[in-house]
Amino acid sequence: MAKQSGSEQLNQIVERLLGRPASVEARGFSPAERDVSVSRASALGVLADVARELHGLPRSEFKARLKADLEK
Amino acid sequence: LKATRKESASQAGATDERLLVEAAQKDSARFTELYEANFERVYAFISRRVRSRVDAEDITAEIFQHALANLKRFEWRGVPFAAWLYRIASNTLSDRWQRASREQGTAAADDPPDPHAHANPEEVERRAQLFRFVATLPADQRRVIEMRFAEEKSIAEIARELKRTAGAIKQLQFRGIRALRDRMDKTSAGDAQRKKPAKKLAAKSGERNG
Repeated sequence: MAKQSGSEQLNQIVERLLGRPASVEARGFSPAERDVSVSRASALGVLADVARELHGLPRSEFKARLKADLEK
Repeated sequence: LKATRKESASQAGATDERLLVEAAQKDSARFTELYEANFERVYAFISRRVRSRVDAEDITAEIFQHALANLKRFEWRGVPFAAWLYRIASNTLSDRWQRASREQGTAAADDPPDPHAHANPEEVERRAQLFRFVATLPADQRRVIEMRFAEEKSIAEIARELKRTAGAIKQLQFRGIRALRDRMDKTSAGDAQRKKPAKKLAAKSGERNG
């Protein structure tokens, strides 16, 4: 089986992350996450941590709309 | 010397914030400056405590509306303005869950999320910083990161919209996340470097006192 590229492996982690609420990230690793054989210390593991933190990134459209509402 | 600089920078930051708060108390139009400085913090705090993006947005809006309406009551006591916003956030979450519990009966009350859980300010600050760094990415990486993580679009959807291949989108996602990691590492290294002289001083002071 051909070895997957880093971008492909990271994308699989992101797919799993986006499949559940952002609030779950605060509770640590889920069993699904442990299935991904990625050590937290590995290069990919470090990127997975960043992806986990990014889950729940605010929408820039929401930020702009709320600012406009506050200015009214 | 660096520790003194950091202390001075922190004092200057507090003074700036105090001036911003006072300006907004006199003229509510200036509140948007406080909003810009704290939006990511509040959102980072809230998004880990609620189950959906809709709730995160509703509650974030409620917090800033409440802060604006009650800004005149805020008294500067040297505590960062964000601490006041976090208190409003915790109260807003508690009120919401109590209301939901009453409306839905025991089902909602069975497992009420704790509004004070994971309230580590450093963790919230780190996540807010990461959110802010997204705006500093090259345009194509930023667009992909926003579409993927904020708009929660699939790789296929993004590829279609940006007229790129799925492989190219995955590469941009990878590079964007790696660039964010590098920015976060630089920030952490800078913080550690600034803390070192303070630690050495503390150790020396301990030796003298011990």
